[in-house]
Amino acid sequence: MTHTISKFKTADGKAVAESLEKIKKDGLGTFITVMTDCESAKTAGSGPLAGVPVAVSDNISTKAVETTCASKIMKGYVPPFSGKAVDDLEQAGAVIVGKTNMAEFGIFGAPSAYGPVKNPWDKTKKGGPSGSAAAVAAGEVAAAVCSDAGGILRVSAAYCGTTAFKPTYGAVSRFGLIYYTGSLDQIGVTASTVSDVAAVMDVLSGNDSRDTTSLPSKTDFSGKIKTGKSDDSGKTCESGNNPLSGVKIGIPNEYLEGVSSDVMERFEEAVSTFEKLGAVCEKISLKTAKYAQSAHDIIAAGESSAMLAKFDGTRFGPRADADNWHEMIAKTRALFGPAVERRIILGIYLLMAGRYNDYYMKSMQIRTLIIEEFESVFKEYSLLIAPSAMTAAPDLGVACAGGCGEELSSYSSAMAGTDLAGLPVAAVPCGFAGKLPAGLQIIGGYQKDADVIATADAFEKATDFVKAPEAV
Amino acid sequence: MIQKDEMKELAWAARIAVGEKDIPEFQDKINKKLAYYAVIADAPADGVPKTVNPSRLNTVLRKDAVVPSMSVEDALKNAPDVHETSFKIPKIL
Repeated sequence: MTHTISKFKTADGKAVAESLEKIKKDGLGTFITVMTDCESAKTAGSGPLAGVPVAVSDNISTKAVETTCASKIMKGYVPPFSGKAVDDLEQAGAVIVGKTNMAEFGIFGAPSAYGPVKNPWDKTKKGGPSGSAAAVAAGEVAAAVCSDAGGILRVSAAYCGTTAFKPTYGAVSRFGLIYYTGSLDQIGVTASTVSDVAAVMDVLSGNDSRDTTSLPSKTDFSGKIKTGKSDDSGKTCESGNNPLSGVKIGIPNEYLEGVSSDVMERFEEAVSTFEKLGAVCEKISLKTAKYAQSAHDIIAAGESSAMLAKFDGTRFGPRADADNWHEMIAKTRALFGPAVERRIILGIYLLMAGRYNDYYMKSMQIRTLIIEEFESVFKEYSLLIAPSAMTAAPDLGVACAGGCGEELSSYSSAMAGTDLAGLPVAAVPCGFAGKLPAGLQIIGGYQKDADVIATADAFEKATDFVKAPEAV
Repeated sequence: MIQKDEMKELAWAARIAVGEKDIPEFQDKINKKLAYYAVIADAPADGVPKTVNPSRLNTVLRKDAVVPSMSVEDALKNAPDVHETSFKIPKIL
């Protein structure tokens, strides 16, 4: 049984109670805070998500509910306001049942202060750097809203067999998101199916004057699913057996490096599926791919040193005892986990006079080169595809195959490049590597979110990979 | 590469109390990062303009209008220590 929004809606008014019961028993470490008193709100709303239990990551502000960013330095912080995503969900009738576990401050490779997330398919394996996908896969919630920089949402979805989407930069307001790298972090969604992801994305879409990067017009994420069209470039937009007829898909060779043989087998089968759906798939090369992870890491470190500066024990969070202000701040900030501390210290080094031009400035120039190369590629290709993660979920306690072993801010050059260019990406299941899910990502051009979602939907409908752990 | 004394200075600049025993590990991991970054040296970026963020918006300035803001009470609610309408901190000197 898959845990779709419609299944939760038909739960005869018991969806929230059942959700809370599942969370209570899960033992997966998916949640940091469970809103046990939310059941009274289950009939309070109306709208497309009326009565549907959802989760938000613990770096999205929830009024009167502790928000820790999975960090000891935020222990006890209770926001006086909610993020726009939370307000949007509640206005759509959703019931927020809890705050999901995550990498500390959403920093790829920084362990949560609340322990790891276990995989619902196999509790000895990682559920990923965000608990959002595990919560969906375990049937605890119909959807989870989570920030994503470096792939924390998309990689988690790949490990747990859920669908996830990171939108074009600015398509969803980040008001109330406690982000660590402002030019890379975006709010995305994970759910069981593409249409469920799109439905929640539609709820979150819209301009917000409180976020200066918010796009001026509302993105219609699900529009092309409803019309059966997957591309508006004039190449083809036919529904039926060949919904991707005329769509040209690029497969960057650089995004295949390091992929395990079992995940690669599933990916190659997926390429055949895209071709059966009418798409033309071709291998391509991205010259800038080799710079992407370094540029991402340098920019993320520089931004984090500034954006995490406000956590100093003055205005919120715990405060260390000390005789003077300087000592108080230094001791309080030692509450960051070591990986976060190193990221901040590294950021300060990279921004210093004498280092800035060689590292930070050069990374911002490389970012331009990456954007220009994507724009050039998308003149010829409608979409790009690649495996989401290089391997199936690794064992708990073992560094994953991507960047987290070296504490890089992104899982792969694909995650880094798309973040730097602010592109929309869908991560969808593409089969199983042994008994664990494997996933692929579909990357679109800037503001081509609806094309990405429609293509992901066409792939999902042509395959049979939407499964819940107990079904296998 | 960052030396031990420089590592201590950086920790001070970051206002993070890093224990003496942790300095070598911090130094090693950050130096590995710097070595990893060597790849960007050959990127053909001379004269290329910088991109600060991927937004294609021409302006991020909003209308200059008075809107409701957070109350003083709410702003102080999470503070470890307050004095009347201000955050209270230990002595600076």
